[in-house]
Amino acid sequence: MPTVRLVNVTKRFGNSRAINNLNLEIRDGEYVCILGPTGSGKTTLLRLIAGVTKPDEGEIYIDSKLVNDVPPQDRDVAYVPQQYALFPHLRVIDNVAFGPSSKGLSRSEVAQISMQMLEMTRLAWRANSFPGELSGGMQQRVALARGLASGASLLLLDEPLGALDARLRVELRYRLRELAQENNLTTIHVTHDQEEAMIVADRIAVLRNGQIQQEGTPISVYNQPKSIFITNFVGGANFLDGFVAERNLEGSLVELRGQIRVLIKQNSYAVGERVVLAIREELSGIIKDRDVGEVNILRGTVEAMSFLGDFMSYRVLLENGDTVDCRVPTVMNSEKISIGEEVFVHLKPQDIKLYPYPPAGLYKDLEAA
Amino acid sequence: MERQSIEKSRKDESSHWSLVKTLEDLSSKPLIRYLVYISSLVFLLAFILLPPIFGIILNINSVGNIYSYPELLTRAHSAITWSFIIAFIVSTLDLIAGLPLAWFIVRSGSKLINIIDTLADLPFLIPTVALGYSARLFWSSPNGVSSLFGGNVFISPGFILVLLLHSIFSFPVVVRVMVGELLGYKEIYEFAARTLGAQPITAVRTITLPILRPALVASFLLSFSRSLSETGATVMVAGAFENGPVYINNVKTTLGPDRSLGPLVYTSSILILTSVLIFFLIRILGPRLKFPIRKAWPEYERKLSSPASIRMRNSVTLFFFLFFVMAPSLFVLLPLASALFDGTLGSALTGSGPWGDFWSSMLVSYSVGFIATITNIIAGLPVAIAIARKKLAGATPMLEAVVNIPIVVPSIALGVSLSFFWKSLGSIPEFWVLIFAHTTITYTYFVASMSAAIESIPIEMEEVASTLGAKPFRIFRKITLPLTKYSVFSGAILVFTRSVSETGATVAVSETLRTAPVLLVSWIKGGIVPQSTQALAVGFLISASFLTLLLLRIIVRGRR
Repeated sequence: MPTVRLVNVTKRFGNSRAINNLNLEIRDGEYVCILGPTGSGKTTLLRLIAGVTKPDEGEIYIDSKLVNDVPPQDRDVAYVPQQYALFPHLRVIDNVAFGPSSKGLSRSEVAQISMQMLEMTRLAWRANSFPGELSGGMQQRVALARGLASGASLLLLDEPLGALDARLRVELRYRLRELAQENNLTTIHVTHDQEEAMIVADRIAVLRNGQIQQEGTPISVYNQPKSIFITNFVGGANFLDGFVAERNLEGSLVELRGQIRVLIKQNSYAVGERVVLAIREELSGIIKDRDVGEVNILRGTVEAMSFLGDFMSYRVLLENGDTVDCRVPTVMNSEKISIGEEVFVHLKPQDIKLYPYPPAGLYKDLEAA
Repeated sequence: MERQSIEKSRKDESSHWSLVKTLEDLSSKPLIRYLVYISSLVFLLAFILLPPIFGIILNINSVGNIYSYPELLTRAHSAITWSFIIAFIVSTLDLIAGLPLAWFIVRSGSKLINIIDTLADLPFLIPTVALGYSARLFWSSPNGVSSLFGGNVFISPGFILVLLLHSIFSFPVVVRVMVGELLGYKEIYEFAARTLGAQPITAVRTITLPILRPALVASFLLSFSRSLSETGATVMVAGAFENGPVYINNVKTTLGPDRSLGPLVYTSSILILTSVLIFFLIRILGPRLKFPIRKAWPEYERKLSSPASIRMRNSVTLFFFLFFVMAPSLFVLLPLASALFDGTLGSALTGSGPWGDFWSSMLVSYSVGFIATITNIIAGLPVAIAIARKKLAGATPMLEAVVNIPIVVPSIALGVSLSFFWKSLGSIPEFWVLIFAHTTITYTYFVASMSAAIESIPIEMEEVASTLGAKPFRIFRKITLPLTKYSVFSGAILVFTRSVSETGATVAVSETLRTAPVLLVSWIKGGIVPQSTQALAVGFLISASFLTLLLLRIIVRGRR
């Protein structure tokens, strides 16, 4: 099982840097998701590791061996590109056999390995079909089988579930994970879908503008996002604009628009500094009656609501013009709230995170790219 | 465990020596790859680009000679001007007439479409000399179209007949390119425009045509350069009229070598320079051309989009196609049929009289065509890959442009300069000079069609294959080639048919050797042999072209 290490890697296309001085280390047998919005450089990163693109600067190591000048055919990676790139003129079995026979195995070995891979991906019964005759899900499995048949133990997946419909996507996530474990693979899986990443990955690396913004386990990335962008991209949140009015050892008091003051259990910003408050939607409580015993109870009216099955989502327009989305688990949603009704939003001081106000404006940082 | 078995059998395999294996191993060496690309580029320089340039430069001193013959100079100027005027009129006409036919073929859904589609290709497959002969019989012999109107000669050889002829052989180029583009075009844009309230014709005018602009420019250019280049058939129908190629041909055949040298160099170099200039101007400016009219006239355009006016448009289109393109192309079948039964066939098969010449000219044509095709496939393939996969990075568009030069330039002008060059090198046998010339003028066809085909394969296919352990040559053999097989053959067919029906460069190069179309031109122009002999010879030329195509088709099918 290989390790992968990228050191100060830069890849330029014209004047833009698709990958910008990037550092990343992937450990043996790990399942890592590279999570990032469109245009963040995910595909380029994968292609650099596969060897089909060369970096302009920096070093790429596979198994501690510098591979910058190693051509793709000698890297022993299984690269599954976004649209799978199955060879349209070859049957499923011949697609799968392409790797082992390229590596010069004997005919019988090639046949044996290919059949084995097709059985593993439960596609043996379609061995003689052409890729064009298969459904999207089957094509994806052929692409996997083909990649694995070459004997590689580093699996590179570019949006492997992107072309599939929602139901299948959810099912195949688990299958991918199993497959990687059963075959002792180190896997790098590129996706823009944070839910997918959280489910399959041992570790997530969030990519933006060609740089890794944060890496860590799904739980740590979700619970300790380093920036507004990551908070928004991984899980989403309510963002409110304000400035620090007071602070002491316990925390700080931030003033929002309309002179509404909110208590926060974080005191790292100076008085007068412009900040952004972030609070997850599921941590934003909604209540019908003002509970006098609590702090940070903000009055507003319900502007919209939507039922999401396991969650109920309310959009509350606060008195000061800010809006807050609150997610309430359906099972706990005992109170009947309707649109236009007056409600109170409850934000617990320990759940609110503070970030410096971005110089380019809040909306710029909330944009995906 | 799997890995071990792979490692092990890798070793097993390496002991089995084979050519393919060696080539695969060689292909993974960067040095070898560079050598292959470099040698194909050297070929491009040494055989395609530099010879015509040097041919002109070597004789640049004789250009002055033409000023001693004011009459030749005026004729040269007028001939060159007419070349471009005709090419311009013809391409414009063909675009106007060909676009609706392409539209009809792609969109009408009629059952006749397959037939029309195939018919539209005919003038492309029939050698131009045969087309010229057929058109001449149709338009200007007493038995042709004039018999319908009772006159003696409807259109005598001259400017008008040249126009009509050029429209015939340029027409299928436009139809073919536009049919291909329309098939690939996403109609969804047009539907979107119509749901936004645009009349069908407005949607086409403001959305579809601007999107298809590159194809419109391309088909205009192809038709333009085809008209500019054609020599043999034009000579046949030109009468006293002269355009560039006819003038060069007349000068070469009627004046002695000392008098003709000046006019030849002068006219050829002007034709070459001007056509290259015009080609690049259109290529650069054409795509930037704005379709200026965004305004819509709903009432007027609603009428134009009505079923009645569509029927009207289709009728006019089909009439033009049948009467101006198909009938003149196929008219040769009449005298051909009679030649089959009046004994001409017998003497043809025994090779008596003029037929001995004919069969040996066919042999020359086909062997030159065959060798030129093979050469261009081998030398052109790396260049096609280099273009399609942008191996030269920023210089790739330049390479692409340079590769196009041979079809842009009138082939007789190219032939004149090529013959100067190759003959200056000493005693190269004429047969080889002929092959070199044909290789040059047909070079573009294979490279262009092949690079387009390779470009259409997603590069991920090749990339994945390489991550699966395939070396470059294996990727080419197992992935790229099978996916572009059709284009390899169609590119080869193009080169071959172009070479076999080529007259301009052949006339310019050859002293004693004559290819079949050149022999036919002299037969028909000179009127030495009887009409039934001419018709039958044309028939043989046509059938040979069709047989070749058929044969290649069968080979392609058989190898599947």
